[in-house]
Amino acid sequence: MHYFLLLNLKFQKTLYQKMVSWSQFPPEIKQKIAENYDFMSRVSMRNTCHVDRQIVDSTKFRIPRVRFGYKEDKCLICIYTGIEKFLRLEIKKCGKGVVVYKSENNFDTSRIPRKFIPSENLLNFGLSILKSLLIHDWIQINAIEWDLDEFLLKDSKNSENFLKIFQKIFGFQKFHVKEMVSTPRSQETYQFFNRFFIDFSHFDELECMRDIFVHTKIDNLYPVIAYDMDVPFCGKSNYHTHLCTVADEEFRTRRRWDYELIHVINGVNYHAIDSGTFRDISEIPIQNPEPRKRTWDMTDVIWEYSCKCGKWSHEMPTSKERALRQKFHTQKCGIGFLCKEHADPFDYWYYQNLPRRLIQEPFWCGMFQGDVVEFGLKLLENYDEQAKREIQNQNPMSSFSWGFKPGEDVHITEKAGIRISRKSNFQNFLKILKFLCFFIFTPILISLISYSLFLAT
Amino acid sequence: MSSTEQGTSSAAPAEPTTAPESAAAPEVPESFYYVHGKDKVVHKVSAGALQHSALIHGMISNLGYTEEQAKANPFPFENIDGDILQMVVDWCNQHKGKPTPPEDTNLPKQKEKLFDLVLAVNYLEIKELLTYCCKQVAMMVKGKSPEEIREIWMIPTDAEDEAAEKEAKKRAGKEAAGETAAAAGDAK
Repeated sequence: MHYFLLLNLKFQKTLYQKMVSWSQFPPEIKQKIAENYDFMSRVSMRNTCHVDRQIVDSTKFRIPRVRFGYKEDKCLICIYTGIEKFLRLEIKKCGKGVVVYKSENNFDTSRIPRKFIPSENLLNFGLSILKSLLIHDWIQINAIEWDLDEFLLKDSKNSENFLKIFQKIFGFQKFHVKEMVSTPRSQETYQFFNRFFIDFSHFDELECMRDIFVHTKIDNLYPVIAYDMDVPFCGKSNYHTHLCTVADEEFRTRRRWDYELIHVINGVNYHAIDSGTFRDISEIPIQNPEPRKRTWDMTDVIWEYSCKCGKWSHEMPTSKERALRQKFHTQKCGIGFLCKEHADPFDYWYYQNLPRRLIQEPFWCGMFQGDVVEFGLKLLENYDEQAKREIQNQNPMSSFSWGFKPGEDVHITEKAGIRISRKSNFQNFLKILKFLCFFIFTPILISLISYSLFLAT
Repeated sequence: MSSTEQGTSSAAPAEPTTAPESAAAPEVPESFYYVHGKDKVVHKVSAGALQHSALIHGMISNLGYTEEQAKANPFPFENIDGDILQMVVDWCNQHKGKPTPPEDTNLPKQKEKLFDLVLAVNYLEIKELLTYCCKQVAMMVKGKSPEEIREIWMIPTDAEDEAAEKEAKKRAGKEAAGETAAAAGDAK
């Protein structure tokens, strides 16, 4: 019994003296709660007081993907927080300021409220928001995708200026990111992107770099074939990824051409190419558990595998076969992000929906080849109304994140998270009217009552 | 014997909230334990349901408490409100020997009750229920601005915090000065 009494005493001391206030919660509970906040709740909570800021900062938050785009006086920040969940900020230059369009889980900017903010420089403004929202030690990002204006980057002077602007805004701060992704890198932009990826990420946390090419046709909007080529850079995997929505022979033969193209673009030794992986889910394979070996031009070796998910093959220079074969032989399924069963659910969803960007955001389709706007319009014609709505994510939302409610008057400043709410003039007028009524009518009422009392006596 | 024990032991056989006995193992009769909160109302809980609480489970296994002893001396949780303890007991009974679902929609929506429940559950070390409660509390701030959160959860701003701290320091200083003056007067 003594044990219980001691426990009870401890309980009385440490636990609540009828405490219901948040400030009296022990930090470990606050931390446990903080682990469950969504992204904007964390941002909001960090701005309540410094104790809660520290609590939020002490818990990690993983963001599966972030997109940043800048071209033709437009800037885009899209933060994916889960499957079908994203926060989207599109900023457009307008006179001596910028107009910000904010939406949640919706790509359509025509229906969402817009806000004018005086700001001299669109890129600086966009980067400041990106920095204040995402460069923190508590945020770990799986992948950041950069869709930058290739025209600007082609000129070496411009690309240097670009880097200087990024350095000026970010300072010494870097992203905690596993994968840096870009739109296709050309001969002119290859060095810029590689330097950029290394400069603005924590090098020890960066696992790979990637550029993505999407080849699509009207017949199908889901990728069925993918091809990755790894050309390591600074000891990190550096992939050139092609996705194709149609399993045609043209794409299959293109691989060899890419091998040589990369050789030319990079100006690297042929032996810098580590390996290439070809993935195909277009047809159910005849299951052959035994890997098959083929040679190509005496310089390359191809190992072909298959399982119930699809078939895949790894191409590698003969010189690297011994080192790489061991790695590839142990894989149970090599379909990667195309495999519904084995891929990370977010990655699977993201890559499956990537070609739909032609319809959802035709402006931000740097990964696609050819005239994407025209192609997107053609695609859109092929769908009925319901399918269009589904693709454009116009489904109604039940609850919105802070700062993303339609009609909410919120200004995300350079110190994002500080909300300046502006009450309407009408509300102020009502307040003044109430104040006047109180001070004019109350004395009249009192004098009337006292006068009636006087008459009664 | 403490007053708490006297109160509880008298109430113990009177109004127990019964828990259904496990149908899975009929040959082994299930043992029951008793707990009471601030309101001294005793709740009868099966050992299987109490396994959710690491604290009570630890007490039982460490002390080798028999059912008779448990009936005579219910576990006293003096600082947990009766209705909160009832909620906890109900939850433990509902989830006895079952895998916990990913979400629990039966948690209270009112801030005060939820906060009390979080503290009680944290004390009783019911891991799964604490996870649900924390999720529910986190849901309360979704879509809220910092000002709204401050208002709902009564969080003082940094400036208010600093002012309160300064005032407390001042008061402590004055009290200390008063005490030393009084001590000096006594010495004289």
